[in-house]
This record gives sequence, structure tokens and C-alpha cells, in this order.
Amino acid sequence: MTTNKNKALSKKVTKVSVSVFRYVIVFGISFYIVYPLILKFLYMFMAKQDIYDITVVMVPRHFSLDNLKVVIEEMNYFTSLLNTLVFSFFIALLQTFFCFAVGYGFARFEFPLKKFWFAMVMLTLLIPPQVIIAPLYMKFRYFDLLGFLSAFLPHRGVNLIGTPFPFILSSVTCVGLRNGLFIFIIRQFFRGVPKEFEEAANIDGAGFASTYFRIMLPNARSLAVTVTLFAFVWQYTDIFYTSWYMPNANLLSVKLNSLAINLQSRMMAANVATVDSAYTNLINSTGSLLVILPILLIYFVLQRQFTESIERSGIVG
Amino acid sequence: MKHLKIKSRRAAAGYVFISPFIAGFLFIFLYALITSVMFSCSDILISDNGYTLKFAGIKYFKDILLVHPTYNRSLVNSLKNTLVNVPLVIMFSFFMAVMLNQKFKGRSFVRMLFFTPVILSTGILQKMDNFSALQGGLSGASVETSISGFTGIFDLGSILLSLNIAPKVVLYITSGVESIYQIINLSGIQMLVFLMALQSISPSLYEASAIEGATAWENMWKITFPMVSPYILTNVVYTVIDSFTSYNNPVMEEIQTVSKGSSLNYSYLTSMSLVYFLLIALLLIVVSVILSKAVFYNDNK
Repeated sequence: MTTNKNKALSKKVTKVSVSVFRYVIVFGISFYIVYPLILKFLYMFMAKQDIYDITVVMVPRHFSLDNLKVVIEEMNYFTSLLNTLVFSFFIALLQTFFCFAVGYGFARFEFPLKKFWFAMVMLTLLIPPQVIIAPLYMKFRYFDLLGFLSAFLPHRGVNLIGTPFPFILSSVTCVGLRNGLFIFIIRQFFRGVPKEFEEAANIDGAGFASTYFRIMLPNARSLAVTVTLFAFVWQYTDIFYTSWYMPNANLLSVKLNSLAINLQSRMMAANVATVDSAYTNLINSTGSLLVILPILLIYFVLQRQFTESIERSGIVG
Repeated sequence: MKHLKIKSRRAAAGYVFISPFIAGFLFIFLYALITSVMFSCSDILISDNGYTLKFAGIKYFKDILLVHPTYNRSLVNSLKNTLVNVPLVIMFSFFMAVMLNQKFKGRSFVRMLFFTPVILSTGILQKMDNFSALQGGLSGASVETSISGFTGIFDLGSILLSLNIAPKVVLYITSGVESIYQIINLSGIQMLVFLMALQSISPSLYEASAIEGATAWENMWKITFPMVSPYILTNVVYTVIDSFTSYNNPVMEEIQTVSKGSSLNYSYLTSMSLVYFLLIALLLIVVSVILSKAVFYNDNK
């Protein structure tokens, strides 16, 4: 009798201590994730004089909207935001659409050299973009369709730098930023869809295309949302490709990258004041927050489908 | 005969589905890769009418490895960073995935929060973060310094040392704890992959082991770990690449300086990144050979 009671008690103690331990860890790590955002938020309203006051640690003593005003003006914020949202969404849709087709092809069909091509997908993921960026830049600087365009032009190739075409071309052909990862995840998902789905569709007389569009894609909706979200965010924050392909574009990442330098040169030209590193940090942190907020908002709206797709692709593994 | 026809039709359909990738691979990726190799062993003369290449042999490779003042050191440093970070990231993300896979109150909220680094520590935002960490100035602007302030209050190092743990191990652990912010930011995708892997384990395995009277600890090592092990390899590979291509990597900084403004030199740029890539490839081969011996593949699926 007592041993049974003891056992039940010890089980309960273990359960409670495990959940206490879990909450401590979860809370701690959540704190690390949220803390920089809180800091940035507080700095957004900090007046310049507070930076030099060591008694001000986090919460500003003098409330001001100057930072916000300077950054919004310097980044041309609302125009850039709109541009970035539209552009990134467009690229994300292209990448998702084409990566889905490729991932599906790898998952559901048997064809010669399949292993080889999949290894090549992995290779595109493995090779850092820095290795191939210089030739890619040259390719798009003097773009040519196998010598076809040059025949009509006085000079060699067409200059695509400064236009969205380098992004569009690499998205359509699935060699954009981390597209290999998308193909990998999508293949993983479709590999687990039961064969009966396809067979039933075949019996009903559906061809490959209609099986794909009518049966397979609607089932993968939450994964599509996830992949689009990833592609969108990575395009939104991308500075590497953007600084090569569209260095002067009105996009948030470009604006944020040059925010401090632009501000510095403008202030020096106007002889207002010198910009020190503390003030630069303040401005950069406000700029970063303004870039973060829209994607955070989108993420919170879409997060249910995001986590759902993790579960779904997990179950079918 | 009919069966064969269906088979070849399916093969053709497969090629149609993956054709975008084949086009991109051949005309964009492979082309760029080969040209990159050519750039690295040539002098490039740029004119209005495009560019011409003049073969220069291994001059640029010699230059960056023997003449360049800091490239070698950066290579070693980034290799060291990676070797330190990879085990920490893998352990952390595995641990977190196991925890997020359990049922508890507020799980969906926590999941949402935990994946925000996937979104927030990319591209320009990551670059800005590193920038403010380097600059200092604004008190507490750099998250890392203020966080090491927190851990400083609770002196983990001396507690571990008083437990007679080897100083080298203690140093590794404390530096891991202090860079937890960085680790969290690097672990997003890996956590996701592990979580997917954990959820793909069939519950019947656990049911069977529960009947046999196995403890949670045994389940962990005899079921969870082997079933997840293929994804450990995936994650290690991903982490290595991620840490090699991130902006706070010393070699990346070298490459950034070469690719800027007046010092722009494509031959330097490509030869630096090629040597760098070869180093990554070497590391990845070594790691995957070691790991693939330990990986368990569930082949009856």
C-alpha cells in the first residue's frame, strides 16, 4: 500500500520537476530571442542626449521621435517598403512554384540519372554563393541567349544589372538563394504522400499534370505557405545578391545597408554635426527594427500554417 | 510491353518536372562555376565590349596563400569558429526539438517564438547585428555584451572548475553559454529539421518499447537517436555551410573587402572563394565519412 503511494508520489514529483525545468529553459531562451527586439524598440524612442548618459541603460529618459523621423526620411521608408514587399512576394511565388515542380519530380518519378541530378541540387546548396557571384555578375552584365541577342545588338549582350531580371531568371530555374533547400524539403514532403492518391487519380483518367495540380498541390497548401514565407523573408532581407544585381534599388535591405554612411555624408555636407559610432548604432538599430516589423507581422499572421506544415510533413516523413 | 511504355512515359514526365532545375543548373550554375575557375587562373581585362581573359596560371592562388597578409589567418580562424560552433548548434537544436515535440501548455506560442530567429537572423539583419556588436559605443546596444553581463553574475566557470572538470572543457562550455545568443540564431533551420524528423518516428515504436518496459532514457538512445541520426548528418552539413557563409566569418570579410570599390579584383575574389570552398568541401567530406558510419538508415520504408 505505502509503496504504491510512494511510487505515485515520486511519479508526480518527476512530472512537476520536468515541467518546471522545461518552463525555466523555455522562458530563458524566449528571453534571449525577445530581448534584442525590446532593446531596439526602446532605442527607437531614445533622444540623442541619452546615449552619452551612462545612467540610462535601457529605458530612455528623454522621449523623442527624432530617430524615427530621421530613419524614415533617410530610408525613404514607405516607398522602399512597398517596393520590397511587392518584389519579394513576386520572387517568392516564382521560387515556390518552380521548386515545387522540381521537388515533386524528384519525389514521385523514377527516371535515369535521378540520383545524379539530386546530387547536383545538393551541390547548388553546398557551394557558397560567393564562389559563383563574380561570373554571375559578368553573365548578367553582358547577358546573351547563346549568342542570339548579340546578333541584333551593336555591343556585346544586354545589361541586366539594375533590373530585376537576374533574380527572375535564377528563380525560374531554381538556382536562387537556398532554393536547393526548398527542393529538398518539398521532395521530403511528397515522398510521404501515399501511392493510393496517385493510383486513384490515374484510374480516374487524370494525366500527370492534372494529378499534380488537382490532387497533389491542394494537399500541400501549408507547405507551400511555409516555402513561400521562407523565400519571401530571405529575399526581403537579402543583401548579398541584391548588392550585386541591384545596388541602387529602392529596397529596404539596400537602404538599411547604406543608412549610416548616407546619413554621415549628408550631415557632414550640411556641417551639422559629426556622427559618432554610438549615434550610428542608434540609427542602425531603429532602421533594423523598421525592417523587422513588417516581416514579424506577416510571420505572426501565417505562423499557424507554418507550424502545421511541420507536423504534416513530419507525419508522412 | 504496356508496362514498359508507362514506365518510360513516367520517366519523361519526371524530366519535365525537373527541367527548370536542369536548365538553371547547366546555363547559370555550372556555367558560373566553371567560369569562376577560369577567372581565378586568369587576368581579366575589362573593356566596353565585355571582358577578355588572359591565362595566368596559379599566380593568384600563390598570391592569396603566400603573399596576402591576412587571408591564411582568416582561413584558420573561420575553420576554428566552425569546429567550435557546429557541435554546440547540433546539440542545442536537437535538445530544443525534443522539448518542442513534447506536449505542454503554450507549446504553439513557444514554437512560434523559437522560429523567429530563422526569420530575423538572415541577410541584412544579421549583418547589422554583427555591425553593432563590433562598434560598441551605445551602452548595451550589442546584445552579446549585455548578455555576457548576465551570465557573469552567475559564475558558471568557477563552479565547474571546483567540480574538478578539466579547464579546457570548462572553457568550451562557458564560451558556449556566453555565445548562446549566436547559437540560438544559428539553430533555427536545424531545429525545424530535427522537429520534422522527430515527428516522422512512428508512435508504434514507442508503444512496443513501453510494453517491454523501457525507460524514457532507453527510448531516447535506442529509438529517438537512431531514427533521427540521418538528419544529424543533414544538419551538420547545413550548419557547416551556414557558418562558413555568414557575415561574421573572417574569410567572408576578406572577400567582402576585395569585392568593394577600387580594390575590386575578380581574380582575387574568385580564387579566394574557391580556396575557401575547397576547404569547406574537405571538411564536409571528412565529417560525412565519420558520421555516415554512425548513421542508422531505416531501409524498410
